[in-house]
Amino acid sequence: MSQQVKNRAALRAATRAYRLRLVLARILRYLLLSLGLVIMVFPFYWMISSAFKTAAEMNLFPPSLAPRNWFNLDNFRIAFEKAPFARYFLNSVLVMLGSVTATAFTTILAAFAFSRLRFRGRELLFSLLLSMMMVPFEMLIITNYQTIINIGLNDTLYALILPFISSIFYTYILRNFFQSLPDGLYWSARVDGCTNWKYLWKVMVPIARPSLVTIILLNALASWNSFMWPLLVIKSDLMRTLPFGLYTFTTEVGANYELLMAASSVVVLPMVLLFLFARKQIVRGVARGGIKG
Amino acid sequence: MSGHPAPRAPFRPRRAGPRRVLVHIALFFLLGAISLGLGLQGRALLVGHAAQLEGSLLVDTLLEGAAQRLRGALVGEDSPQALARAVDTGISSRKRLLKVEIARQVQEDQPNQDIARMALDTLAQGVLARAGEEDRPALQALYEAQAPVLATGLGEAADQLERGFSLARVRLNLAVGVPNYPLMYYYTPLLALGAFLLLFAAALAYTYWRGDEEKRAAVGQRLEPMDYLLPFFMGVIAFTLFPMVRVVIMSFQERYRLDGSFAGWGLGNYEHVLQGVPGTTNYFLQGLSNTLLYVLFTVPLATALAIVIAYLLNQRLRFSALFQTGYFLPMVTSVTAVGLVWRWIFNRNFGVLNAILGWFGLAPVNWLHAASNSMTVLVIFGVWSSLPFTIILLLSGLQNIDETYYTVARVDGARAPRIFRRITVPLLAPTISLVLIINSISAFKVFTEVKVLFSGYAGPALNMYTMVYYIYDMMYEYRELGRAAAAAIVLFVFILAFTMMQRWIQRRWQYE
Repeated sequence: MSQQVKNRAALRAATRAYRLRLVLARILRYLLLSLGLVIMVFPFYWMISSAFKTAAEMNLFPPSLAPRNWFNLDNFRIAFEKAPFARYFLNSVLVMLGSVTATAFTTILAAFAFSRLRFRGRELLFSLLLSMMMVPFEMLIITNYQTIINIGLNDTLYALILPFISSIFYTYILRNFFQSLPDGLYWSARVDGCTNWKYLWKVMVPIARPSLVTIILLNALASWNSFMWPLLVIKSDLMRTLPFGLYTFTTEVGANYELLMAASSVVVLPMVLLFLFARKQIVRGVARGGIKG
Repeated sequence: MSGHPAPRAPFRPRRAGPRRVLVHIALFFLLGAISLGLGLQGRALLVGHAAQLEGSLLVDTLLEGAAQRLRGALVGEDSPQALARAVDTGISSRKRLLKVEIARQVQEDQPNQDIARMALDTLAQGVLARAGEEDRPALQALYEAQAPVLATGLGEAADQLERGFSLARVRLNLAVGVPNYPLMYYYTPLLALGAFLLLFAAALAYTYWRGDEEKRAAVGQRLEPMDYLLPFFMGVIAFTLFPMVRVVIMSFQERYRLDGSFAGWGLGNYEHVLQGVPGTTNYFLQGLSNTLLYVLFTVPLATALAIVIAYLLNQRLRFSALFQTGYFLPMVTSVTAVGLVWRWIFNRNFGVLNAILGWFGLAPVNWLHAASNSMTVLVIFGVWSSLPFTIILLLSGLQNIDETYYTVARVDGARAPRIFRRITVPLLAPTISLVLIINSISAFKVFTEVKVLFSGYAGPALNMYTMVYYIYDMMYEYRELGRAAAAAIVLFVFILAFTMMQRWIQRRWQYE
């Protein structure tokens, strides 16, 4: 009898200890994650808060954690006066739209041909393309730079779009999705007299919308943030895109970090907003093989 | 029964009809004609430029050649100073007018021999006019004795110049700076493309004419995939395939420059890249070692941190959207912009990092302007910016692990650390190795980070060259495309090795 009671008490104690450990583990987990979160997000907070500080506030040491006036828009005003950021913004938007549209078009058509149409040497051709994927852009850039100069497109926005209109990687992603669609769908549409062209745009593209959105988002991100290529082919002030414009702005204003932070916020904000709205699609796309490399 | 609509025709998939063939014939014919026309125009332009260039070279050769030869004939080692000066001023007094005259005669296609004689005579007259009274007869006699030999030699030199003058050389000699005649550079491919398209159109037209309805339909169907692939392949060929081949060729063209000139074929570019300029820092090797160090520090560090974070994020979690957003944010933001932010954080006098160090009683560190700290700065920034990507890949790897493993382990009484060590990590191994490789490949290409963190220079003491930075420098600052190409090939060898490893791992673990 007493043995039983003892056992029960021991069990209860063990359960309590186990629960306590679970709670502790959970607290620890949240603590660790929050610490990491603070480190990851801090630069963004620092950028935005610095953008609202005055020059005097910037020269405090140790720095103040928040600006005195959160509605101090002077830095943005001065930055926009000193450099044509509105123009940079427009250029970035134009390049992004142009490159996304062109890429989506070539990608959809090519992915369709590689997944649905039959022709000799299809698989061989595709595996050749895949092996071309590992050539880094940094290697192609040398000839492309010369090509762009030779055909006289340097210092135009076309130069920022043209080399990127065909992406093997996006075609690969979309082809995989197209191939996962059942054959029956295709043949029944064909029986009903649907042409390939119509089938592609009326059936396949709507079904593939999630994949397409992912591709478009990744492409938009890459285009918006690209730096090395504009640095090479763009010369004049009015043709710069945001990251490049921001970079040249740093040499103009030197150590006025409040202006730089205001300008950086302008560059970063659109993509942050995009990410907040389309996090799941972007993450899925990245998980599938990457935004990098 | 009568109310029913007429039954449909029996099943026959609609085929890409003969009309498609006609459209293609017209289209290819048009495109072929256009590209042929552009190619011809480009060639005409080139020939025009060639003639111009040849003319001006000829004029220069004749003028300078005449001046040099005459001076050599009239002034010896032991001639007095006054005589030498007289000859020089005499020659230069006639030069300008003579140049105009030579140009006129070259345009009129006079024989080089005659022009040479005329040039020499004109210059000699100038010299005689300047020479002192006592020197004149001697000079005159000397010149008359030498003149025929001089004229023949000069004429032959000019002839040789004309003979060695090919279109290919003109193309190499013309500066790129002159805009708006791009067609000139690509007239050969344009002509080839035009001819090919026209032939293709002709072949199509022939089959259309000779074949029956069945044949036409079959051809139409064959053409269909091509239409879908054409836009894509135009981009791939022009901006991936062509550059790929070209850069390999370019790396063997010694000192190939942006304007298309090069010194010869050989391994000179590689030699320069690997050996550098004797007596100075070899920036390529510096870049190579920096890049390797960067990969060696950043990739394992980021991956280790990412494993922990991904593991924690993968548990049932409140506010998981908030956490994910926060952790993934650096991935979508421009490296240029956040690089500036980190520059501000690393600032020596007012930076927040030195303030934090101050809390722990540490002295402020000169992060950005001391060469010894450059790598630390770059690695911190690199880890921070590559974390999101790494976490995402690992997280999706974790989510692919079957839940049953965990349940069984828990039933057996295993604790969290043990589960993490014995189940999570081994099952995640393929993902981890994949992540290590993908991250290494992208870390090998580090460039923007350096450019932005160190205010547009390769480090505070030019100590932070990376491989891509070197390529950029060679290409953009020095316009030495050949050397840039050689460096790019070396970079590619490294990346290729890692890619091969990646393929091997993917095959081994059947990982997609």
